[in-house]
Amino acid sequence: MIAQNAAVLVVVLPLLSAPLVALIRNPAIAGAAALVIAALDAVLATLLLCQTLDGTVISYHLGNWAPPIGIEYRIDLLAAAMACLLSYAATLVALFLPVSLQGAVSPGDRPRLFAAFLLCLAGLVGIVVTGDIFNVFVFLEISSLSTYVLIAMGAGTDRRALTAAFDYLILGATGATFFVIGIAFLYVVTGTLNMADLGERMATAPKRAILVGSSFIFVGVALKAAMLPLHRWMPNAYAYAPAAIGTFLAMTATKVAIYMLIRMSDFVFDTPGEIGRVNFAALLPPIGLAMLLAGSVIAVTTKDLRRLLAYSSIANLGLMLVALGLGGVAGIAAALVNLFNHAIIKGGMFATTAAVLHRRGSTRMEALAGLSKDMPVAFGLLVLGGLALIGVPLTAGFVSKLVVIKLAFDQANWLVVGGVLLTSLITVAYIWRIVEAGMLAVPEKPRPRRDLHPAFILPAGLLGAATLGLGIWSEPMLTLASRIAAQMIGTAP
Amino acid sequence: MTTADLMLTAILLPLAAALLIALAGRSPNLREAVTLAAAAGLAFTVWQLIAGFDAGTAPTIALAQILPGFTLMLRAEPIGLVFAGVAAGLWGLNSLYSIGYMRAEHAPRQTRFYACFALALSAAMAIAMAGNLATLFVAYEALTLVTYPLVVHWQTEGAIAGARRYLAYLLATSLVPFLGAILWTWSAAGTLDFTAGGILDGKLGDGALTVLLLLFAYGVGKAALMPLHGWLPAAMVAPTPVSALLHAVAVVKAGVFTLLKIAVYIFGIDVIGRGVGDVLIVIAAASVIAASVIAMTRDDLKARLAYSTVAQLAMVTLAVAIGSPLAIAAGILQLVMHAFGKITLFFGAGAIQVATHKKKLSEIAGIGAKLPLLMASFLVGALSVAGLPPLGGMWPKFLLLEAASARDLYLLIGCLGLSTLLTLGYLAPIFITAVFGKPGAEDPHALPHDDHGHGSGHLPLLALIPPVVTALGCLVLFVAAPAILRFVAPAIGLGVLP
Repeated sequence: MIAQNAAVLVVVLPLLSAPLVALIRNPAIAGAAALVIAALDAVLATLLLCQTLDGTVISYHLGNWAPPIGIEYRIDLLAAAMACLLSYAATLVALFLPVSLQGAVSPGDRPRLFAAFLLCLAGLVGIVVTGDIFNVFVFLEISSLSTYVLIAMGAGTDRRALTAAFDYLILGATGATFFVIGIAFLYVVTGTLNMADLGERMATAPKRAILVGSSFIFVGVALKAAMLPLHRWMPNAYAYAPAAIGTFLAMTATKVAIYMLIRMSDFVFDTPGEIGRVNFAALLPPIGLAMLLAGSVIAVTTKDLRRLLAYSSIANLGLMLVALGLGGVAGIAAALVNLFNHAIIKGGMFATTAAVLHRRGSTRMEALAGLSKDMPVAFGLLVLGGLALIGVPLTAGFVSKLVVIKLAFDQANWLVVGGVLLTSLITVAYIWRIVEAGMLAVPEKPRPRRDLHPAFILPAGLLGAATLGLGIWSEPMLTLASRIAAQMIGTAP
Repeated sequence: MTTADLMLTAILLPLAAALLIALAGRSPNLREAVTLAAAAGLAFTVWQLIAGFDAGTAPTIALAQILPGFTLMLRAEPIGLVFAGVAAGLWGLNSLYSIGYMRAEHAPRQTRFYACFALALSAAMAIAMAGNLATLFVAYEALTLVTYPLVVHWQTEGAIAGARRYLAYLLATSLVPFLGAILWTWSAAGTLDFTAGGILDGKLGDGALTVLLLLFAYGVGKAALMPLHGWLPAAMVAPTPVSALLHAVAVVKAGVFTLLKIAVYIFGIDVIGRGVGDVLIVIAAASVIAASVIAMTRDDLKARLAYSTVAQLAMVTLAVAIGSPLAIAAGILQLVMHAFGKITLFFGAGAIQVATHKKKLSEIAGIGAKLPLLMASFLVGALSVAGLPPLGGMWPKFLLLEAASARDLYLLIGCLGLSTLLTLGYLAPIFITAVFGKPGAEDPHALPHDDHGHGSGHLPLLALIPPVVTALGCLVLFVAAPAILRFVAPAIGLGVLP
């Protein structure tokens, strides 16, 4: 029964349990409940992945209304893999969420924070499993509204969390409006909201209306993906949200926006040579390269570790867009390898940063002085993640970069080859700021050796191990990505 | 043990040693015992590999696949084994010297020092035994990263700036031109495996091959080809044993070794010899002369030696560029001979610093009287680096001259002759000043002598024995050079031995 309904349970479970968690008075119990629910959700997502691994597409009709009239949850390999990423990330973050809230959020507010966290998870998972474009909008709103709340809860540590949340609220709402206007255009000319159906009917629909509609959708998604120049909300949101929430957002929020680009690439965007749709190949590589460059350069100048990591994420999102823009099965596969690997690398770094914040009370670069002495494990994990971001061999980051560069090489796209290679150097510059701050800077007064709080060890350690493991044994990730891409394009894997 | 086991042992033994060193940090004597035992074990392992090497049965060990076609694998071949032998053999001597030097200098962070040293050796072994360019690249990057803590060791402002420069040069070259050239090779040839005769002939035009060779020559920043040599003098901020590691044991050697390997197994010697390497000949020859001239102007002993390395190892690049079996043989011999000569000189410069606390040519007048044995070894090392018989350093210069004359490169012959004079010009003053110079007034800027024993003319035995041994090595190598040539001859197609 559970296996058959996993498609819908994976959304319903966190969605319905969120209000119940908010009712629990005791923050410790509420935190444990959030962890259990996230873990159960991860089990459901894993079930979905197992069912779809052979190429099966699960189609679940809500209320037994057949599509295109009713809402369809459509789970292919991409959706299942994304659901796994989201629920695993939530589980890992839930492990250290209660500890990282100590002293940052008052105990009375914590149950509501856990509830918002579960709602956010439900919204994000909803986006990836639904086959209905209006449903995507609804879940996007659920996740966005809960994200605004979560970011604002960082105000206990830093009041700037409030402006960060407000910025994101205004920009996010604008993006959602663009998205829904775009949907309206498509609905008017095609008469359907089911994404599979939309793809077929758009072929005969008026080209101009489609172009306008898909442009609106593109802008809406671009904002969520922190695409240059619509990235303004993102660094502050990551830096001032409670550290554990920042970790969750870094692993999931923008990744889901990239997912939306990939998902809609077969009907809203990009069919080379066809007028009437937003052309990926022309748009994404320039935007991606600009993000790669700008994100890396700004990261060199930041004064706070979390902002540094956030700007580095902009650069990495740029790399995903570049890969997507290279097109074809290989392009989508390269983008997915980057998406999953980056979630792991950056998740590990943000989790470690949360652990440092928990001990130090600050993530400013000066506060890192002496880190290699009093928190050697945390320092080691940060350096490992940093090396992966640079693209040092034997880390997942090297694999990510190599697939993109190799693809660009084979297409003789020298601009991308040069751009990606050169930004590695800027990455060295900002990663080495962390190394010098943690290893060489002399702290004002030596601290006793107190490494990661135990709650952080499992999540940060697992993500660190995966960063190394996927760099050496990269085959599973590459196979998964190319299978997903093949299924998306409709060629046999 | 089988050859495959020995190869894995050579890489894993220093790695395990690094772990043990880190664990033994509380007890310095135990920690150093681990280093010395590992060094002895590694030297034995590599010796077994060399003694039992048979081209016909050399196994390939596949380790991992990073991308389809970009795999990690090991395969022993003669040039790599020569490099491995030099690095493994000198590690033990360098460690003995390190113990003398680091303890006399009361250096902090010694556990990190010895652990990173062991890691560097592990990376060097992986470079030596890499079976394809992918593996070599991975190990090359690892070597850069694990030597960073060694270069920054003193953690003073100057050390941090120097180490930053070290890292910037090495990563910038390896992440852009080197990786770019590897990808280009991969695209063009469809493989990255080291193959006898090369993999690129007929896949790219000669013009493209020339560009590719230059990308490699500058991408392998560790080879310190001018004008990308700046990291080497900058890295002189490191403790002297680290300088010895960089110059003689692993790092610059790994760079020129990589070039040799690329020339022999990626391009093919003949391909380079038919004109692809001509641009590089000019660059390398200019690098030899320019670096030698700059060396003459340096007052700091270690800076002088650093520029000397830039000049001497540009000769290996030159050998690669000439592209004949004879020239490659000269390059391989230069790798060995320079290692022994230069490590003697660095041991000497470091010992002078430990014993007298002096670092500059202008300060060392007359110190030779206190350190006769040390200065004698220094002289032997200097003469070997310059290429005079009866020392090992003569062979590569001699073969290089022959290779140049075989291709009628008369201007190059002139350059090589000039470089020998220049080498004497920048090394002889050190010896002459130290031995025959009259001690002048005490330099007011000199650091005050302290009461730990250094600065007082006392030299720990452990800082004296290694240079004496390596100086003797220079003598032995004069006799042993033909054996090395016979060992590598089949791999590089060297027919009649001179």
